[in-house]
Amino acid sequence: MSAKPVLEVRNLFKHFPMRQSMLDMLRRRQAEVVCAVDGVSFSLEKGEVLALVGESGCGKTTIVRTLIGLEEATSGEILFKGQEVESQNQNEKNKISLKQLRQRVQIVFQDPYESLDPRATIFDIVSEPLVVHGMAANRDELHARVKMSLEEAGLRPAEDYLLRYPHELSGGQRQRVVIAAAMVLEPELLLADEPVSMLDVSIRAEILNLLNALRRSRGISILFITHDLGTVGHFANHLAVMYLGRIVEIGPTAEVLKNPQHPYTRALLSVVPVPNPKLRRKMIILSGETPNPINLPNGCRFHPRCPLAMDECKLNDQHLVDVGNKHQAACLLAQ
Amino acid sequence: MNENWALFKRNLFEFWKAFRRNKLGLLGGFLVLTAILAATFAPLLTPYAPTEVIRDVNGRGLTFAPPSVHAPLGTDDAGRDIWSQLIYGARVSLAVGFLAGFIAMFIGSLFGILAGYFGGRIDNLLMRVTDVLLVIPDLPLMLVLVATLRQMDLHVSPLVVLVFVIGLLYWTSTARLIRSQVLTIKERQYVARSRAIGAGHVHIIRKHILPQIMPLIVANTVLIISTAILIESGLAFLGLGDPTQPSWGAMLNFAFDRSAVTNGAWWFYLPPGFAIVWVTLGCVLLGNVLEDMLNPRLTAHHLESNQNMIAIQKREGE
Repeated sequence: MSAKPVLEVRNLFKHFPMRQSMLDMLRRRQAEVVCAVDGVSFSLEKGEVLALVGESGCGKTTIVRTLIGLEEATSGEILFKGQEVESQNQNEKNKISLKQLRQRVQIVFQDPYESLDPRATIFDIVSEPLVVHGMAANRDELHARVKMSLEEAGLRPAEDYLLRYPHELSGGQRQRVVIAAAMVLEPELLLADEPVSMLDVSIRAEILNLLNALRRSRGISILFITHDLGTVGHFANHLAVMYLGRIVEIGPTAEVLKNPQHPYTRALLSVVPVPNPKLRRKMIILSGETPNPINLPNGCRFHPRCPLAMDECKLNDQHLVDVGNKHQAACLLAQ
Repeated sequence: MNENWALFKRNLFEFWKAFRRNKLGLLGGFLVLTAILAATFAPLLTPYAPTEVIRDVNGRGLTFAPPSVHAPLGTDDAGRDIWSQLIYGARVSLAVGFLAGFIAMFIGSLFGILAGYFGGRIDNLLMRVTDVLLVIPDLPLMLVLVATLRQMDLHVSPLVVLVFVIGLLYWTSTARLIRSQVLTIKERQYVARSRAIGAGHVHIIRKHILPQIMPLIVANTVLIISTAILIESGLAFLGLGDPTQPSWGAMLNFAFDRSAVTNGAWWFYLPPGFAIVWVTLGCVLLGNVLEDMLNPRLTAHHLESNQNMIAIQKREGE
């Protein structure tokens, strides 16, 4: 394992300012912000899979978009192989440019129906990264690399697909095309933003196996975003649970699943279906709604919904604390 | 290159297969195509030159002669053949219409794409320019412009002036239309994906935005051409065309000036009017049908495509 992690995120913040009314501007009221990502740190080693889990709106996708430069971080550092990533198009020394980053980090979006241009052929789509970065010396090489990538993504024989349009393919095939396009540059890091949540259950396993095989053969790292804890167990080495823009629990997957410390993680785990009808568990159903990310609650941001909340939780905003075995949780009750 | 050609042929064939079924579209295509053919092969279709005076046995000009074997659509006040003028007039009307339409389309698309894609200040600037042009009444502005430009010593044909005035004023609706379409396309995920890959603005516009709005541009061009032909006829009718070359509007102008109506010479003013309706109707029908057909969301679903597809899925299943 190399000394430096492939990806390191330090104290990442992404706040979206709300649009102010003219009146509020005249009153010089401070603009309200949506705290989509609120101080997130994690790191990802070579060849590892970090799963980022959390309910809708907790900031998972915003993290991915910020990492690849589709959003500009409000503050915080993103380090790719120990090198800081430049913020939006300033040519700073010692930093890796956005264009270089985008050559080595690829993204797979959630919706395979939306992420393929309906007017481009599969060849156009898969060859696009190579063309953009000028990676193929000539047409033959371009062809060869596109074909190789398609076959590696399980679309065989590749010739049958090259001149097809996305609408001629099924959802699973489309996601394979997206993955082929992401892998054609041989990236070191893959950001997978819920790559299987739009697919049928039967196809999910295939796509996950494909990602796993690519990880093993190429040694790439994967940041795997999901809201499905069921798929995480046999896929990710590390697990981070997010709640309202923060990581509330992080650690090796087996450790977190076996010994969840944060009440939110426990609640999530308790409702994951288990393939054993005789096994009865106590489900923890959270009451209430996720608080508005504009007006975050004081103290621990989970306390309004927490079944174990104490008075102290309303005052004390607990940060991640070590609970052993590289396992951290942000809860006063964590041991 | 070979496979691109194959792809193009396949797309063209698919398009034709769908287009064939559309009766209105076929009618529109027929109307436009006949007009273009008539304009192209005008000398073969006309017995006389448009300026030639037909004379009787005594050498006098046949003025206001009704349709006969000598002059299939009769003659005008100077004894010139109406049919010949009509066919040659198609050349002027179509040329002005097409050229002005293309200019308008080019400016409109450029403004629409730049405003929609870059947004912010560029959008604001371009759209305010568009708004200003949009609120000025077109016809009076054009009359003033054409009349002023003709006074100046430009050494260009009045038709060129006409082409540019129409082209430079008729792009506003196109710009708005294209802009709104670009606004929705640029938010699509495949554009975000392309950006995440590292593609620049030029690449995204060329590869993702333009192909999406091309159908809209094509359909809109056809519609703009019909408007341009109408405007050209209107301006020529008001005497702002080229008096030395027959166009349909100019013919109407002559008919009006030489009191064809009071003389009961219906063969003088009906044919050009009919010709204008013929072409503009054709353009509108064709434009509307193209707009419907080239919409990417209306193309076939993957299950009804070809047999090859099912064979592949079987192979995968094995």
